[in-house]
Amino acid sequence: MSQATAAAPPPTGRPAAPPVQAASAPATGRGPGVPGASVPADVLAGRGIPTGLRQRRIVAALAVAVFTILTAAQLVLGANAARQAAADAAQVIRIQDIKVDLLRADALATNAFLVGGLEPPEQRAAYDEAIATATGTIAAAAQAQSADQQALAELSGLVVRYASDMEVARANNRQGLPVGAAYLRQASSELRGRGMTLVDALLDANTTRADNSLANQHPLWVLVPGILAIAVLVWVNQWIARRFRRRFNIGLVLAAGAVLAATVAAVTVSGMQAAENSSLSNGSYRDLVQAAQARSQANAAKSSESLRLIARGSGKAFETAWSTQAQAVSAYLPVEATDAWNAYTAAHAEVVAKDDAGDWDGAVALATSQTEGSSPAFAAYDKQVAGVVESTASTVRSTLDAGAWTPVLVAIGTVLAGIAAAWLAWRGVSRRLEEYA
Amino acid sequence: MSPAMTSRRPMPRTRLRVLTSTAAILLVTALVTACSGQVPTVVPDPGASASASAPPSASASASPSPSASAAPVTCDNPTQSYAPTGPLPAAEALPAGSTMAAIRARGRLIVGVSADTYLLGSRNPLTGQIEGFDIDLARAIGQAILGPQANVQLVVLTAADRIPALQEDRVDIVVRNMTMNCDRWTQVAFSQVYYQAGQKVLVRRGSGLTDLASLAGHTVCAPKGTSSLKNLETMAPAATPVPADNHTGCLVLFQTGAVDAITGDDTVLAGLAAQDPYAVVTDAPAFTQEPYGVATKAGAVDLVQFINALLEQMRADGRWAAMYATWLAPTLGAGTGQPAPNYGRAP
Repeated sequence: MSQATAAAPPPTGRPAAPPVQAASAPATGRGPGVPGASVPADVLAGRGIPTGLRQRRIVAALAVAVFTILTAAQLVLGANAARQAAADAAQVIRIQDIKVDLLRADALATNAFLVGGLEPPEQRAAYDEAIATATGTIAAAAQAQSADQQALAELSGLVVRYASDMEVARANNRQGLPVGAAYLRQASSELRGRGMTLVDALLDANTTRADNSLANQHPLWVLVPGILAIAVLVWVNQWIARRFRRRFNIGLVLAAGAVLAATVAAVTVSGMQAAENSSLSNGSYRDLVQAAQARSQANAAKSSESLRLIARGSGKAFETAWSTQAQAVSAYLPVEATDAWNAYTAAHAEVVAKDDAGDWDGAVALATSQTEGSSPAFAAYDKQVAGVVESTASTVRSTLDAGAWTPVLVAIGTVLAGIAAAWLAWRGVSRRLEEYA
Repeated sequence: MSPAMTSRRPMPRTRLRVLTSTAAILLVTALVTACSGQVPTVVPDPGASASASAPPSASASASPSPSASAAPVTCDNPTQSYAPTGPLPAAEALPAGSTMAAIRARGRLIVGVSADTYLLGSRNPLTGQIEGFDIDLARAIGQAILGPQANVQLVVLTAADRIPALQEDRVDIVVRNMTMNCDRWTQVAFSQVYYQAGQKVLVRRGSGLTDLASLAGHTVCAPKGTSSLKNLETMAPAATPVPADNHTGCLVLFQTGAVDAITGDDTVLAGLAAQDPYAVVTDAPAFTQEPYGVATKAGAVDLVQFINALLEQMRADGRWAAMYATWLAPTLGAGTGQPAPNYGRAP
């Protein structure tokens, strides 16, 4: 059977829409197929319809398949980005925790050093706990983000060195030997120098990763494959409509409907995720990062206060550092902790006033007492801001964890809808083709 | 049906299968791409970040002495000071308009000291108080100006910060094992010699190092801005000098194996050796003379004369000898006593 005669034989069975016969087409080009439609040249020539149908059947199925792949892939990528955002935010929280614990340990150690004789047992216990928590978090952070492992390995080594230098400092202190103070200064200086360089680099990298992951939802791009697939289906439908007496091909219409439904679902879920991430970025997540900053900078400031007094008259550089750190705290201060922070800065001002007036012993007493002065004021602030960090962290975690699986479910639905749509489109065109069998 | 058509006939199931597997491959590819590793965290290398991230240190404000890099000033009278104009005046009868009267009017004497030079001026970790030979001398000067209940404010200085602290009026006097030399006389003034020290070497017990000459090729620590460091550089050029903030910092480097030896005044080294049973001061004689003086701001002649009169009084009433017996005799032995004064410097 040649292609030229393909349209000539009468349709077999009960065709739903008999092909327009070339012979019956008037010269005006108006045919009976679709009122008002011009009769295509291949129809006039009486050739090529089955071939055209076969080609368009493949085009329609391919368009639906491509839509399915692209949309499902985008949804899976979106789900992955949401999980990544949760993981990155969790890593930012871990690194902030490490920073706070290390600076807190150093603040406790330097403050204990100011007190003559043995340090108070509860201060020692708090130091031990801060170091233990920091090392545990470093291990957890290294497991969670392989890209951080090298930096965390160096930090881990530094913390081990810090803790051992502190033990040497203590051992010498107990024997009344001044070399203990030199070990303490060296340990503190390395932690606050190289240690904080590492921690800040880790914070920068993970904050950037979290920001990128949170911004990694693109609902408009999810729309594109759906529109293109529907356009192709409409084009195929129109091609067939011009050649058969039906305005709509049921299979193609159902396929387009399935594609449309899947697209709407995909765009909705992706848009919701994007909106949620955006509100996190400008809400709880931002609050969390700022509260954690307010806590770590405050601990650094408390260390500076002790180091100023240890330097005994030569601590101008530490007071400058205290001011810088206090400014950073003020910039990030959660409203709940404002009063506590103001109480601490007032107590610090008293310490400074005494030291500047030449009463170093009075200043030290005020800075180290566990019942009055800057230490209890600071402890109250630290507790307050730690509570804020903990509650915002749990909000961020639960929000990010909650939305991670919805896009995957919609992706599975899209694949099923895509397979159905491809089959429907294929069947719809095949029904016309069968009329030539 | 023509053969041509047969050969081109589509096989729907096969094609669908192909399409499905293509979709699966693409999905897997997308997943793998999305789950792939991240860019490793970039950490600034220690050298590059040193200046940016270095924490403040107590010596941060210390500027090197103006003549640190210039050729050393020479003279033949570095220990020569201003002769007292008479016996020590009582605290209640200080000359009006004098530097001492101004200090008394303020109510406290501000003294630059060391807090980590064991036996001379160091913080006792058990009491939190700074104590030592230099501290007792500072308190004696305070009592002479302010009376028995003198308020003496101790300001801890690094060696490199001694001269700037005086020049910037942060302290009234410096009693911090400070060697009198011609170079420093151009920037500050000194009392008569209150202690005669000499530079020696501290080594690890059993190391085989015996004196300055044996240090060639070894790392040797001395504090920044000290005459000890300059002497090391000029007298043992084959040794590798390693500066630290202070002598106790040198002991940390020594204990951690970062340096082979420490050089400094015999008084300071005795204090270091007393903290570490594996550290010994070599038997070789001192290779320099290090006369310690109380430093004041340049031109404070009345204050220098006052301190010299006090030192004469302490020689006469045995207070200097008592201080030596308390702090230095147990490790340095009987010693040669309080040095004789050398006066005649013109104001």
